[in-house]
Amino acid sequence: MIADMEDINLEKSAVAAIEKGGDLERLKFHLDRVAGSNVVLILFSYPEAKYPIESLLLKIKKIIKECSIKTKVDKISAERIKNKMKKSSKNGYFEEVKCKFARSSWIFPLIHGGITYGYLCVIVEKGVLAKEILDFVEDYLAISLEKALKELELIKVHGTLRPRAIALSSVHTVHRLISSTLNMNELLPRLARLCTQVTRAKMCVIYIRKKNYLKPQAVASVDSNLKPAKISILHSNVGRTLEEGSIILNRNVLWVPLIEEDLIGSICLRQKQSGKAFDSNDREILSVLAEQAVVAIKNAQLYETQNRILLESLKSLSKALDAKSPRTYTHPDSFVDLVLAIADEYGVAPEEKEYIKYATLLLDTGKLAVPETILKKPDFLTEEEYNSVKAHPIKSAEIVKSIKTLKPVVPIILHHHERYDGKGYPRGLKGAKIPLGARIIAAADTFEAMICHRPYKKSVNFRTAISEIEKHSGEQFDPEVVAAFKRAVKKGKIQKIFHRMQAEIKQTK
Amino acid sequence: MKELFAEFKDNTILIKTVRFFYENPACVDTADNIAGWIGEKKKSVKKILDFLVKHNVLNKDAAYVTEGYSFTQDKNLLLKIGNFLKDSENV
Repeated sequence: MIADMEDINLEKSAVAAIEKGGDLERLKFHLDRVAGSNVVLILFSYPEAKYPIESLLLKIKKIIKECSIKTKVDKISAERIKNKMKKSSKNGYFEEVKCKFARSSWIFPLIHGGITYGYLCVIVEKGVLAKEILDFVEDYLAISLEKALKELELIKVHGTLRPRAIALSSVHTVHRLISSTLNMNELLPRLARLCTQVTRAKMCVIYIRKKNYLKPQAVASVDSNLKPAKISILHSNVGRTLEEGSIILNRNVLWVPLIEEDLIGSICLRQKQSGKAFDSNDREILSVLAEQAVVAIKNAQLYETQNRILLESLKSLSKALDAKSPRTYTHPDSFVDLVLAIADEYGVAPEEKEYIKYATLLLDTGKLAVPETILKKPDFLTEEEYNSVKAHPIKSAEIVKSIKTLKPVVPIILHHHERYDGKGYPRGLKGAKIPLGARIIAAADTFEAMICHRPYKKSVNFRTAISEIEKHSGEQFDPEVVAAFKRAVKKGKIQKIFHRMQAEIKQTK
Repeated sequence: MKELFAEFKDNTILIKTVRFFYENPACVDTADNIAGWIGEKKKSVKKILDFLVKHNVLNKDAAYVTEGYSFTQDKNLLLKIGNFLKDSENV
């Protein structure tokens, strides 16, 4: 009984598994002991048994030769073997075959679950096998076949489940990678790249909704420089279909909408690297990724909003302080640009730069605790007055400490008056023990103090201020920060900020 | 590239790792899971994965504690790796 090609392969595979498994060698070893060393075992798969008689004859000859038995195999005997195969298959029992070239021989059918997988031909050149031995061979073959079939099933399950398990694990890892990213500029390109990776597509575009358009925000491509255009949601078929929440699956394009109540964007894949068409498997994987992407994108958007609100609040606080007494508690707006220009040249990481930005806005809030008469005194300060001024970083840090999200900012504020040689305040920290942000701000603060007029000190010109910073490299300032500052000067960044700062100061006056 | 293929000759974990990615090019996974897939110790596999990243055979994405490794999409490199794996099978 043969159902289809898969069954044929299974029959061949089952017989091959018995051959490879070593069960035949073991059986031959025992039969040789019983009948003398002249037993020949030949396995035929079910399809093989249907081959023309010449093929069967060839196989029998070959194996008998391999067993070093010198006998002449004739066609009539081979035909008898073939006929007994049919009969044994029908009866379900082993059959004796009268062969000219052997003293005795038998055909054992390999049957399991009503299906014949093949036959074992047992040839004994000299001698006879007892009925009990033949019964044993029959049982032995039944167990071998069952074992081979279980092994094949295990291979099949492994072959089916393993790729799925790997794909599932990949989707899970991608989920972990994108959900840990809160920066949209990092998230979207990463998402695009991982989508091409998981689906082996040539290109992936992440579109984000801006009013009634889907705008491409990130592109990952294997070998294309194609620049995708924005898509109208209302006036294009793609836009309208995605708005309805439907997936578009074509041979070479796969669109999956990103939906959180409404359409917030879309992931678009173009062409498989293999040249094959996108299929339901790609659709399934991309749908799962899209669901995860929606959460990651919303989180990143919320984080961006939260950061913007925080920054605006800090700016408002800074403005409020400035309104009380301009430039007493705050720096010019361009001071932030000055600090960030140095941080950029230094190569500060984006997250750290954000903290430095926040610190810059809140540096001198602690001066609120210092009497205004001291801060505006045009003369030298008494020791007591100076100590009061020196306490302002501690006061500033105490004020900022109460805002949880600004925790990383506190050390920057606290130590922005430390000196690289350890002679600064409030703790007298030295070298790399001073937070990087504080080291950058220290140089920028001094530069700004020199170019802006103070009650107790007249301003100096741009070149003099730069020379002063250079002069104190390694003493007051971190040499690497000074080097970054000089690079920013060389690129003209500091000059531009200087001019803006001057204009701001004039406006305040 | 020479260093990479020279290493191939004696390092079975390296061959197993590259073969795994060659057979599962869409995989993006952590060192822990990849070690599981190829049946080797995580510490040894992690070392190999970073070696392969250095030679652009693998890409590495990192976000906080998660590090995901994925196979190159460079056609030429894929071809070279394919040939090398075939050769290593024949040896």
